[in-house]
Amino acid sequence: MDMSVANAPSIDATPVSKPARDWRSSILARARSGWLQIVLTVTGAALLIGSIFLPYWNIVLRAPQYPRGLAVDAYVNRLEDMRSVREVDGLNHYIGMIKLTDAARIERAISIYAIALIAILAVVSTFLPGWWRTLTRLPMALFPVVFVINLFGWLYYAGHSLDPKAALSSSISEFTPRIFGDGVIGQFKTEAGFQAGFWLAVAAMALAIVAMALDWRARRHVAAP
Amino acid sequence: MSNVSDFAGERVNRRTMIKGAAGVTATGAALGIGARLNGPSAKADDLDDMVEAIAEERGLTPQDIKAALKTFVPSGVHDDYLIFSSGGQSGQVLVIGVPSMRLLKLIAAFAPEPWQGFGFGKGSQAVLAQGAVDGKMLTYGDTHHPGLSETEGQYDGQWLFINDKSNARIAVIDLRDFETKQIVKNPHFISNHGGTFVTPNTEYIIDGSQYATPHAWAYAPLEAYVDQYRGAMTFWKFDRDAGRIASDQSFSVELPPYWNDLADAGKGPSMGWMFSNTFNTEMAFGTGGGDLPPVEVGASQRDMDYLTVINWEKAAEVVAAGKAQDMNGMPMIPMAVAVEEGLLWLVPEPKSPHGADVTPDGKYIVVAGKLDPHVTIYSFEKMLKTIEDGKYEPDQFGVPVLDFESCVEAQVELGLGPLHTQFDDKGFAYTSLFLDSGIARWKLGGEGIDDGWKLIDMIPMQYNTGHICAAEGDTVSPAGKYLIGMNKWALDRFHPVGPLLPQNFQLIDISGDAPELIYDMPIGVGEPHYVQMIKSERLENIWEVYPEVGWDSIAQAPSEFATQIGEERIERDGSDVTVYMTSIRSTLRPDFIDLKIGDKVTMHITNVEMAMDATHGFVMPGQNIQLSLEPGETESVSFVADTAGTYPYYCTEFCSALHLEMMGYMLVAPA
Repeated sequence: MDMSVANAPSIDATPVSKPARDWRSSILARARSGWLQIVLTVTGAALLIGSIFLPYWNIVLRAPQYPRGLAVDAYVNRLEDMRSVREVDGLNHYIGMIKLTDAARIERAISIYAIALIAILAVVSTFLPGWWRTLTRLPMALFPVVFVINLFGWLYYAGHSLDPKAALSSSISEFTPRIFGDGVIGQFKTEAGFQAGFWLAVAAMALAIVAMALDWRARRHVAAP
Repeated sequence: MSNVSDFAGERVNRRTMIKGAAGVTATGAALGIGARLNGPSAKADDLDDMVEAIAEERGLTPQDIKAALKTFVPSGVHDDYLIFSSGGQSGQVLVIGVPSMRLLKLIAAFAPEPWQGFGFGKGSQAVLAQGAVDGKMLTYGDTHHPGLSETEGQYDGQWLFINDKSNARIAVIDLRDFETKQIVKNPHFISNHGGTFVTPNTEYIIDGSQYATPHAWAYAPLEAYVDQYRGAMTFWKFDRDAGRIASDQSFSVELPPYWNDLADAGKGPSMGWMFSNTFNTEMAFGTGGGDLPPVEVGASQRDMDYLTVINWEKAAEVVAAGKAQDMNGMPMIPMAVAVEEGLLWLVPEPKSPHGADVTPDGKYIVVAGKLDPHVTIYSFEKMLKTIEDGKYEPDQFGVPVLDFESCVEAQVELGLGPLHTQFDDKGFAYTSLFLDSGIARWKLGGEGIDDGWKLIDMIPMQYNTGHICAAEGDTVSPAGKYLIGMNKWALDRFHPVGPLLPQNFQLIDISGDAPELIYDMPIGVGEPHYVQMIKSERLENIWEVYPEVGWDSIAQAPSEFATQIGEERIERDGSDVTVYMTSIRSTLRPDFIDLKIGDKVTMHITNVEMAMDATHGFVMPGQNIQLSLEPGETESVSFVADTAGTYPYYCTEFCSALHLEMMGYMLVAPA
């Protein structure tokens, strides 16, 4: 039995006249009062913290003798799963590539502290005045960019520092593994791409930028009434 | 009686064959090939043409094509069933896929096996040493009857046991890695045909003596046969947690000096009991160097022998109550105690029987006649009633013999030389007929079945069928579908390979109304006896690689000698040299071992790979060392560098493009 009709609210014949609201001024008003910025910034910080628990980047290597593929997930502080990592490192030694576990050691070691600091700065920013506010939100807005640049740098380094004495060094020339999309290394087809953790960080970046923009607009409005 | 599948027969003329082949296309469609043929009939015609062309070229009959379609398993597709087959004199177990009949693996059990490194590393050498007799290493086994572990009367896919008849030994195989972990030697008797049969929850592994001897491997002249020779039934306790037979919780029941043959555990209503057929109740022992007849004559004089019936649950209680005697380190319940406690009974059975098989419902015991064309079916309920009614007389050893007529449910005449019986899911029993070279299919009877205990037909076999195996055909819930006949003679079935011929496993499809022979598989490694067939999905705990790097596969635990990358080293203490080595594609580290003549060397080698199938071998020339290091495994070897020289050691499993480079030098400098 369909109750939805019976329960549907009756249409009030009397027109309700609400005062027209200027949404822009409303938002600006809230931004001026600060709490929308606080929500955006704190949410961004939470997303960034959450991204620690998700992979940022992943690469899958496929070859005839690895029908299930070798999947390596890069988190900000670790690589998983270690069996695949060891296997990839084992294979990479033939072309003289550095071990995955030796790449970005410092970055992985400090990443949790760095993200915690970025998140704390973002939260603290809401209590700070003026340009301090912008400055303390900037790291959150820049983090994914720094991540991509760093990742690309390591991929470039890995492909351009091959040990010339490695067994198969003569059969492979310098290259940069694809950071995104499909590539080929020897008999392996690679599929690489950014993963959920990275997109959370990007969302945090977007929120930070919006918060900074609102803040900037608000300050401009306050400055020039 | 109808001859249901005479494959050996006609090669039909081409025209008939081709017509038939087109008909077989329909069978292909039924098997799923047709799924792709639902389009224009032109495609079906193409398939017909293709089938005809291949059939013509290869001289195949429609029946051949049908058999091929029923057994072909495409590349990359796994079989629905696996059989674990005795490897006979090879001392191994064979693992074969069904219906493809592809040999998947040999599992070394009682004999060294170089590919698996079994008997070459310290771990497996210790296992083989457990089966040594009076300090003598035995490097073969006469494997007979594999027994898969069971839970509630159905295979659970966890453990496999197999006996070596010639030395009364049992091997325990772990079905996580398909390796032998333990061998036990029966302390009471020398030969065990009646093993290994497990009780419904693998509480015990039943092991029955065959040839009577004085117990505990003692000496007694043949003239003392009646007084001093004895049989026994051993119940080995299996400790699932430890994955080992617990000898200290095992025991035997003393039996008259008759020869026990095959056994089966009761189930359902007969749970707690076991049944073993017995022959040579004549107590013949051959000529004894005099005028007595040979065993084959002497042991075949009486019209009746005995079915031995033991209440093993009661026997365990008797042992726990301290009423057994220690013999050679393991308790033995004396015959008189067993009789007094009412746990040992005999039931007459026709002349020199073979096979004692309990029906899936546990109500009946089927004994095949061997020298009698019948199978005799005993009702367990009637046995208990006969005991209750006191209808028994003691034999000359005081063991009560129940009244035959009171225990028998039915007798079915099947043919000549009935040996072993298996069951399917449709109420049929299958009994091998050794002399008739066939398998009799007959209908089980009992309550609510009107036309039971009746022969249906005979499946011709090539040739001399011994054991047979239906899918899960000795469990409480047989799967039906497939039946395998294990034929002792192959004669003309395969290309000649000299006077020692392979055995012939014949696969029969029993899913339809009429059984159909669909494959012949030659077994060229030994003479298998029994086989068990398990649904492959029950084998769900198989490891792809060992759980972690540095695994002791015998202890199934991390090895104390595990060596990780970077921990490789050579330690020297006087002339004792210990090498901690790793193997990984494509390097053995260390790749140089510098020795002086007389050094005593121990090597611990760890395969640090965790990739499936990345197995490395290891050989040391001149030292009889050939190891198999499966991913994660640590294995150890010891040897004395007693000859000066230059020894290249290397990986023996083609592991990588640089496999040949995976080597090192061991130098033994002269004094």
